[in-house]
Amino acid sequence: MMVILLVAIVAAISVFEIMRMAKNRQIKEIIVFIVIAVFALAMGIYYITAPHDRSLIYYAFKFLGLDL
Amino acid sequence: MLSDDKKISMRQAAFLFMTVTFTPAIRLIPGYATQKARQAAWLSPIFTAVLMVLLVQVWQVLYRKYKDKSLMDIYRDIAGPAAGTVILVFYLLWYMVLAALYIRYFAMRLLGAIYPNTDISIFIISMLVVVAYTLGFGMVTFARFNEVVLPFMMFVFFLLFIMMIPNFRTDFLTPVTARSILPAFEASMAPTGLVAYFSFIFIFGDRINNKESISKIGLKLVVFQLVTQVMIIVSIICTFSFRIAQRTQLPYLTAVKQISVFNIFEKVESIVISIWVLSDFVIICFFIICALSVLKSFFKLSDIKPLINIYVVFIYFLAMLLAKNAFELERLSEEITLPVNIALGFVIPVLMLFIGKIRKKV
Repeated sequence: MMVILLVAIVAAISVFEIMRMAKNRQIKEIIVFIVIAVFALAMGIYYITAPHDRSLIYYAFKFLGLDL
Repeated sequence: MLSDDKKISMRQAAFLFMTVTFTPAIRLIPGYATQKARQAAWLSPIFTAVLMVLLVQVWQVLYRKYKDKSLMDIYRDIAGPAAGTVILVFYLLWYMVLAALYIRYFAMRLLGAIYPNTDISIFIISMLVVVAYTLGFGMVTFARFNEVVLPFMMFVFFLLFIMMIPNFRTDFLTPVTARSILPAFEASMAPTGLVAYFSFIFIFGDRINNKESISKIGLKLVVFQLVTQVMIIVSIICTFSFRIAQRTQLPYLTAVKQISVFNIFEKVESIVISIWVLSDFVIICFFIICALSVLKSFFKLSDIKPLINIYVVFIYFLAMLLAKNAFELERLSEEITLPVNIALGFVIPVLMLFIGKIRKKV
C-alpha cells in the first residue's frame, strides 16, 4: 500500500514538473529531475520494504572502522 | 544594499549564517565542550573566533579576484575543472547528509522535548511541505524571511539568558588555569565545526551583492559568534555545573526549565521549542538550496525550482534511512560531522587560497 502511495506521489510530481520543464525546453533539468526521482523511488521502496534494517550511519561507521 | 532583485546582500547572507549556526550551537557545543574541557569549556569559543577571523580574511582575498563567482566557480578555476569537480562532489554529498541530519534532529528534538510516542514522519513531512512551498518563492524571499526570524530568535535568547541569571552560580566556571588551555582548544572543535558554515554561504556567492564588505561584516559575525557561544556555555555551566551538562541530552532546554521569575513566569521552554523550529526550518532550507545550487553549477541548469519538490521527497527518505535513534545522530555529529565541516569549511578554502597564490590566480 505504502509503495503504491510513494509511486503515485513521485509520478504526480514528475508529471507536473516535467510538463512544465518540457514547455520551457529545459532538457538538462528533465534529465537531472529523472535521476533524482529514480533515487527517491529506490530509497523509498527500500525504506518501506525494510524499515527495521540498519541505518546509513551504522554502515558509514562500519566502513570507517569506527565504533558506534 | 540590493542592486538586483534576484540577489541578496552580504548582510542577509550573514544573517542566514547566524541562524544556521544558532540551534546547532545550542544542541552540540555545551555537551561536547564540557566533555573535553569541563568547567573551562566557556573558553573554547575564543579559539574558534581566532580561526574565524582567518577564514573571513581568506574569503575576502578570494572575492577580491572572483567578484561575481560562486564557490563552485572559484574552486574549478583554481584547482582546475577535474579536481574542482571532484571536490564539489564531496560538497554535494555533504549538503545532502546535513539536510537529512538536521531534519532528523528537528523531529527527534520535538519527540524528545514535548511529543513522545508520536510518529516521527508527521513532523518531518509537515516540515518538508513548508520547506518545499517556501523554496518555490526563491532565495530572496527566503533571505528576507530570515531577516524577520533572526532578530526574534536573538531577542528571545537574550531575554532567556537574563531570566537565567538568578539561578547562576559563577563558581561553577572556575577553576581555570594554564592547564585548561589545551582542553579548551580541543573543545573548540565543536564551535569551529559550526562556524565553518561561513564558507557554505558562498555556494550562492554569485547571488550575493557587495562582497567587498565580507571582511567588515565577517568581523562583526566573529564577535556575534563569540558572544552567543560563550553565553550558551556559561548559561548551562552556571546553572548545573559541567557534570550535568556532560550527561544531559538537551542541557539548554533543561536550564531554561529552571527559569522562574517571582514564581509567576514559568515553563518558558515552549518558547525555546518555537525558536528551535524556526531555526531548523531555515537550516533545512539553507542546505537544500546549497545542494541544488551545486547541482545547478554541475549541469549548468537554468533553474532549480522544478527540482525542489522531488529533491524534498528524496531528502525525506534519506533522513528516514540515516539514523535509527538520537544516539546514532549524536555519534555522527561528534565523530564525523565536525571534522568534515572543518575540512570542507576551513581546510579546503585555505588550500584553495594557497593553490591560487601558487598558480597566480588570486
